[in-house]
Amino acid sequence: MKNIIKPSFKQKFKPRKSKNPSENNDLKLTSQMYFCLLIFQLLNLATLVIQLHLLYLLFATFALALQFIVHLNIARKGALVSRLSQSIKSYVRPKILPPWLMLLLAISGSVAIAVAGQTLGLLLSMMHLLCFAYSLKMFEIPRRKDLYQLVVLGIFVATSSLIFIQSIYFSLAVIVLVFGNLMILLNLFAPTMAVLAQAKLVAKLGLYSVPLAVALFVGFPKLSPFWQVPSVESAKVGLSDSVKIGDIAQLALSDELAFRVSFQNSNPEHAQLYWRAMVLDDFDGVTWRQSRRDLSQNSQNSQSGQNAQSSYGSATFEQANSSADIELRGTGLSYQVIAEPSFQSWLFALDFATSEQGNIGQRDDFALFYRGIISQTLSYQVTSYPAAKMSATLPDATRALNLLLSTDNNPKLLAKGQQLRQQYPDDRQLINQVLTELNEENYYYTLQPPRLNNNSLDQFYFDTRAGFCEHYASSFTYLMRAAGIPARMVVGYLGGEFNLSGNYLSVYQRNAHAWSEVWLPNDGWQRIDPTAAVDPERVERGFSTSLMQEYDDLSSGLFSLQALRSMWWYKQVKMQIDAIDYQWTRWVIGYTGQKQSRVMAQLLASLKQGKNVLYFLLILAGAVLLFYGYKVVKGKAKGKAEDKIKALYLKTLKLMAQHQLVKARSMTAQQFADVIATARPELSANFCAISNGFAQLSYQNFADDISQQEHAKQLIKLQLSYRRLRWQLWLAKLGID
Amino acid sequence: MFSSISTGSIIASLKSVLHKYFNAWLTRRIPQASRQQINHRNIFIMPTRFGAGLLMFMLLLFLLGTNYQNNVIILISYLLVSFFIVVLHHSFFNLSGLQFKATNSLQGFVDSTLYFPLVITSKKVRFTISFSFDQARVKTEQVIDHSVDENKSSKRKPSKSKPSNSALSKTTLAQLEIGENNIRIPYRVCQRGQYPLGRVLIISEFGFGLFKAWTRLDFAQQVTAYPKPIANVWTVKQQNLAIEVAENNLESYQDSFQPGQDEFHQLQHYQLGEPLSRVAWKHVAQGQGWLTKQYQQALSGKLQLDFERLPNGTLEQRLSWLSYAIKDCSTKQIAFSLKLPDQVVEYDHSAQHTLKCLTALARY
Repeated sequence: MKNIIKPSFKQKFKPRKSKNPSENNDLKLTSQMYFCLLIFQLLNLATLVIQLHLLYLLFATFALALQFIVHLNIARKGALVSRLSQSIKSYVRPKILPPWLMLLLAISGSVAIAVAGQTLGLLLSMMHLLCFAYSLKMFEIPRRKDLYQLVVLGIFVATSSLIFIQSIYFSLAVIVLVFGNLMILLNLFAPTMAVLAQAKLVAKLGLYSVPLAVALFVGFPKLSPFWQVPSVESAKVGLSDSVKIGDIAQLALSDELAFRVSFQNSNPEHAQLYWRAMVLDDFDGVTWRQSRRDLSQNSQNSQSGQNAQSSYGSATFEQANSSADIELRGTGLSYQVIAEPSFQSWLFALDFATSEQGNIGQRDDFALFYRGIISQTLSYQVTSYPAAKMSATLPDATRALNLLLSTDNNPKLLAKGQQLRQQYPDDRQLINQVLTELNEENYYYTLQPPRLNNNSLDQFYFDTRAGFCEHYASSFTYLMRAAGIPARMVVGYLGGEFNLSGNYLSVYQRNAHAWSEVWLPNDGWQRIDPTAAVDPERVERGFSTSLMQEYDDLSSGLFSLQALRSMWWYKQVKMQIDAIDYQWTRWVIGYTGQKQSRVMAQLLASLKQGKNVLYFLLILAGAVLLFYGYKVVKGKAKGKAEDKIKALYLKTLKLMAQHQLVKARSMTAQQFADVIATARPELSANFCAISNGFAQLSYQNFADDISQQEHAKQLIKLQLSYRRLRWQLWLAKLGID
Repeated sequence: MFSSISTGSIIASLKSVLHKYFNAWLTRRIPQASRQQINHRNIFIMPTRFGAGLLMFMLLLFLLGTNYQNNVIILISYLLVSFFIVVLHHSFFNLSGLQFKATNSLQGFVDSTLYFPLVITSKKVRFTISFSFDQARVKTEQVIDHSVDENKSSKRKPSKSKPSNSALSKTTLAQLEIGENNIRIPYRVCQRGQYPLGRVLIISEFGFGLFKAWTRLDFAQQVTAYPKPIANVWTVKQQNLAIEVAENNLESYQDSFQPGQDEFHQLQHYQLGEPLSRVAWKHVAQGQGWLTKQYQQALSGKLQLDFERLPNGTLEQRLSWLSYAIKDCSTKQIAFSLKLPDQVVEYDHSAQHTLKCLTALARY
C-alpha cells in the first residue's frame, strides 16, 4: 500500500518542478485569499494534531508562519500602493523557497517519513505523507488547477481525521470545515462578494444539500469493506487481559466512556448489571491471565489472540441452544451495546449472551469477542438469558485448570481453604461462610489500599484487609480453589449510569469491576461477588458515599471540579450533551448494514400499511405550504407596505361604518376626517392619523421619496392607531349600551 | 505519412460534418433574435474537469469510509455529492433569467478588433460571467491565406480550438449588478465580407468551478468586414509604379496640398489644424488676420479609385490597397469616387460615402 501511494505523491511533486514558472497565465490571488488559504490549512491540519508527529507539526507550523510573514509583508506594501490606486490588489504567489530547496524538502521529508514509518505504523505514516504534501503544495500554486488540488487535499486531510475521532462535535466541526474549504473556491469566483455573504451562500447551499445526503445515508446500501486497510493503531484502552492486583484502581479514576447500552424493554436492576468482558482462569501467584490452553492446541505461530479466537464458534442463539454446555431458561433480555474503541477485542454483555452478528464470537468461557480489533465505535445487538444454566457438567480439563494453584505463594490462604473444606463439606455452606466473614470482620473497601509485598494475597487477606474488587475477587477465587471448588475470576464492568433523557445506560471505565465465578454441581457456573459482601452499596448503587468522597479527593488536583459536579444543572447539561452524543453514536456512527436493512424493512412495512403515506403527503403538503407562505409573506413585506396602508384605511372605514359613521362616496378622505372631528371629537386623533397616512400615500405621491423601512414604521404606527380607535369605539359602544 | 494525412483529413471532414449538424441543431434550438432571455431552454451545463475530479474524490472518500466502515466519512461523501447537485442548480441560476439586447451591427477592417455592445438586464446580482465570440472555425480558415501574426498565434496553440482561452478575445464581468449593464465584447475580424456576426458564447463557472454553464446566442447582427488597409501601393518601393498608374487619376490626391495645381476658389478664416501651406501669408502680413486659401480641386482632377487600374496583385491585395486609399482619403477629407468592376460609387466626400465605398469593397 505504501509503495503504491508513494510514487503517486512523487509524481505529484515532479511535474510541478518542471513547470515553467514564467508562463503568463499565472494565477493571481488577492492577499485576502492567501490568508484564507493559510488559515484553512492551519485548521485542516489542526484536526489531525493529536495523531501527527511533533517534528512534522514543527515543520508545518514553520512553513505556515513563513508564508504568513511573506504575505503579510506583501499586504502591507500593497496597502501603501492601493491608497494611490483603489483597486483590489491581486498578485502572483511570491517565490518563497527556491525550487531546489523544495525538491530537497520533498525528498528528505518523504525519506524521513519512510524511516519513521516503522514506529508510526502504516496508516499514520500515510497520514504524514498526505499532510506533508499538503504543506508543500501551499508553496506552489502557480495555476488555478493547483489551487483546486490544494483545496481538495485540504478537504481530504480534514476528512481523514474522522478515522480517529468520530464524536458528534468533532464530526460537525469537520463538516463545517469542509464547507469552509469550499468557500475558498467561491472566493476565487466572486472576489467582489463580501466574506459574510460568501459564508452565507455556502451555508445555504450546504443546508440545501442536507436532505439528499440524509436520504442517501439512510437508503444507500451499506457496503462491506472492499479491501483490507491499515488499521488505526493506538494504545489499548480499558481492561487488560492480564490483571495484577491494583490494576483496576487506575481505571477507577477514569471518566472515559467504555460503552453504552440501550435496553429494548425494561431496564434491569443495577445489581444485575454484571457486564462480562473476559474470564481469567490462569493464576501464577501474581497475575491472573486467560488460560493459554487454546493456544497450545493451535499451531505454533498463533501468538496473537485473534488467531486462537477464530477457532471459537459464533454466539448465535442456535449455537447456544444446541450446545450441551448451556441450558437456556427464562425470557431473553434484548439490548444494543455501542462500544467505544478499546483497541482490543473484548465485548461486553450480561450473562448469558447470544448475538446473531457474524463478526461476534463466543469463547467457551462465555465471553463474547469481536473478530478483529475494535478500533472504532462498534455497535452490536445482544440477547441475554440471565437465568441460563452455564456448564451443567464440567469437563475434566477445565475442572483441573480451575483448581490449579501456585501453592508456594500464599500458604496461609491455602491452609485456610483446606481448613474450611474440612469444616464445611457442602460447597454452598463454605461459600456463605467466607462471604459472612468478609462482611462481618473488618474488611473495608477502598481505592487506596496499602501496598502489598509481592502482590501477596495472604498479606491482604489476613493483615491489611483493605482493598477493592480485585483484591476480594482474587483472594476469594484463590480460597475457593484451595477448598477444592472450581473457581475463576471474571473481569468486566458493574452497573453504569442511566441517562434519563436518552434512556440508555452509560458505562464508564470507572465502572470496571472484578468478581468470581464458582462451579457448583447441578447449578453450573455461579457468579459470586465478594465485593458485595464487603460493601453492598458498591454493588447496589455503583458507588458508596464514602467511596464517592474518596473518589473526589483522588481526582481533585489544582482545579477541582467537585463543586461543579454537585451542581444539578451541570449534571443536567452534561446529561443532555451526552444524550445527543449517544443518539449520534447510535444512529450515525452505529448505522450498520443490519440496522439499515431493519430500518428499511420497517419503513417498507409501514408504507404497506398505508398510514405513513398519508403522513408523508401531509408533511409534504405542509412543507410546500410553508414554503409558499414564506414567499408570499416575504413578497408582501418587501414592496407592499403602501397596499397595506390602503387596506388599513379601508378596514378603518368598515369599522367606522359598523358604528354608524358611514363615509359617503362623494366625500374625500379629508372631508370625512372633518366630519368625524365634529361628530366624534374623541376619535378624531386616531382617525386623522390613519386618514392622513392614507391621503399622504394616495395624493401627495410621497411613496417614491421615502424608503421601505420608513413605510414599515409608518404602517406600524397606523396599525397602533387603528387598534386604539377600535378600542375607543368598543368602549363607547359599551358605555352607550 | 500519406495515410496519416488522409485519416487526419477524414477526421477533419467528419468534424466539419458534425459541426454543421450541431450548428443546424443549435439554430433550431436557439433561434436568432436581437433580444433574448436565457433560461432552461438555452443554457447548457456540464461539469468542468475540476468538477469531474471532485466526483472522483467523492468516490475516494466513499471508498475510504467504506473500507474503514466509518459512517461519518461516508456521510461527508454523501454531503459532497448532494452539494455537487445543489451547485449544479446554483450555477445554472447564475445564468438563467439574464436578458440581452443587441442593437448595433459591427463594421470594421479585417484584423482589427471590434467591440460588440450588448445591454444585459438582470434582476439579481451575478458573478463572473465571461462573454466571447465563438470564432474558432473562422480563425483557422483564415489562417491559411492571411496575415502573419495570425499564423503565429495559431502555431502557438495548434490543438486549442477555443479562443476563449486567450484573454484578448473575451470580456469577463466579475460582478453583474441589478438592472442594466453595458458590456462590449471584443470581436476579431478575420475575413472580408458581410456576414452574420455569429454566436456569442456566454460562460459562467461561478459557484465553485465545478460546473461550466454556457449558452451560445445569435443576436441576428451583421458584420461588415472591410478589407485590411495595406499601404503597399504608396510604399517607396512601388512609388514609381504607383505614380505611373496614378498619373491621371491620383495626381490631385497625391499633391492636393500644393497650391497652384488647382483653381483658387476663396479665402476663409483660418481654422486651427489647417495646413500652414494654405495660409494666405500675404494677408497675414498685411494685418488682415489669418486666412486660408481654399482651392477648388474638383474639376481638373477628380480623384477616382479604379480597381482595374491598380497594379497587379491578388484580389484581396487590390481590395486592401483600395481600402487604404479610402481610409486615407476619409481622414484627409478628400472627395473621391470608387470604381469597381461591377459597380461605381459616385464622387463625394461625406462619412456616409466612405462607409458606402468600404461596404462595397467588403461585399465585392
